[in-house]
Amino acid sequence: MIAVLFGLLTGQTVAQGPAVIRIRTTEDLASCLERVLSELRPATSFVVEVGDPTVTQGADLVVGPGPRLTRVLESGRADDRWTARLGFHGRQLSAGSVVAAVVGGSARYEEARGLVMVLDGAVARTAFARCAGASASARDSFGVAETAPAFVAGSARYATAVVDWWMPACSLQRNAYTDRNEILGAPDALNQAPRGEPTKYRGMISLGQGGHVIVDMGQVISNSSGNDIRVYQFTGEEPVSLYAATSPSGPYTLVGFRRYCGNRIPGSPGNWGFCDFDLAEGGMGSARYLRVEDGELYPCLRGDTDSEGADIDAVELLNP
Amino acid sequence: MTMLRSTRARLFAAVLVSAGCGGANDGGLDPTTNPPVNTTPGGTVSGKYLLRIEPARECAPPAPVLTFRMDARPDNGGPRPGIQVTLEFNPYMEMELVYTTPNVQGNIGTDYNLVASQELSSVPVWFHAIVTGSVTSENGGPGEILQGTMAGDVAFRDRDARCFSTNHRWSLRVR
Repeated sequence: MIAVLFGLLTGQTVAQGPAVIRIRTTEDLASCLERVLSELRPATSFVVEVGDPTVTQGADLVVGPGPRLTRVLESGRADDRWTARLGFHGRQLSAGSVVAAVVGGSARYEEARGLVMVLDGAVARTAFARCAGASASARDSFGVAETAPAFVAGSARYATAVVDWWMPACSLQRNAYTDRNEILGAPDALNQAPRGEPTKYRGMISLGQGGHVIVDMGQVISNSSGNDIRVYQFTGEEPVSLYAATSPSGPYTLVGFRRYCGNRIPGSPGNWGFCDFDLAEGGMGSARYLRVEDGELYPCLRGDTDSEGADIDAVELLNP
Repeated sequence: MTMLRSTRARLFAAVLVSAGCGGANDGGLDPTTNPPVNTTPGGTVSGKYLLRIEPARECAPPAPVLTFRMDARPDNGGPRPGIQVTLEFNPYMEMELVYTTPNVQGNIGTDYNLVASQELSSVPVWFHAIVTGSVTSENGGPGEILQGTMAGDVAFRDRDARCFSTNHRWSLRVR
């Protein structure tokens, strides 16, 4: 039985059995979302409601602009482990992607998770892009299969030491994840919270409003063709700024400013994200010290999670 | 794209380098009969202020100057002395600054709520930028930042219509 229930614009909902999945999204995304899911999951009962996707109450799945959903994901109201990025929709191109996420406390969690898995596939992304005029594989390496370079024995591929750091007092008091050493080594961040409960992270530092960590990469990074540095940004898709220097005391040269940092490695958990930087963007031939800085610049006093700002898991050399 | 990014990065780097030079007012004597003004570097930034932002001309701002009523207070619980400057009544806009007397360096950010200037109450604005400046005080009074640099994104009316420039300017004066 096909039961696609669609309450676009009117917010009208029609109950049909207990397994109807309620999807809340913005007006500009609703029709394409309904069309894509109807094509790919014709046997699934769902209803698309136009509304504020940051309000999760009564919804099983929320779909909206990534930056708007940051605090929904990082609070645990939606589960950041089960998200799909549907591409860059219209003007969202410069600001972030369209994100679908399972509501943490949903009674139809498993069914909603099934829809997210469908939406996270290349077929759905392409169909959504065709419908919405979005870019399924936009800037950087979004949507493109990434292969990590092979580890070179004896070569430190990840940040080896923290040289300096700063975070506003406000962020230091409010954030729970302030251990700067979590940025060292390979990516290992996790959300350990049980389903439907507030997030409980490990393995990352939340930089707060404009905070930064300066790391020593343990070797000189030479500018090679393509990107040279990858920053792993966990949960959400907060932007990151990167500066580089040859000496720990600087001067630090800007390499990338407020770069979108929610690119996905296909098959990785939904809360893993990354952004890449090319030293040539800053006109640099080499560097060793990197200043990784929050680019979200969200007012500290307005934050309502304990992981405000970009959440940095690791920094990797792509061309060791 | 790479060339644009590279140019942007170089412009930004130039701002950062120049920002370290400070630039305190030299505070000459007042030629009138008023008491001489003694301007000194540094001072305590605390209390009621007016934030004046001059967006770069290339960003086509709706007005050449946008002014906001702010509250400022020292915030020394971090790894370095700092100053927190927030929009009066609702902290929809906030500056977080490191204060290494007399220089400040930090950022300004807005959230998703509508922030409007005193000049144009119907035009929402968004700022996400890096700022620098120098604090001075007159005759031992409160600290002020008479002119600072601001590099980053501004948007007017439409949050996603961001304009990046290194040529924004700002000041923070007692009101």
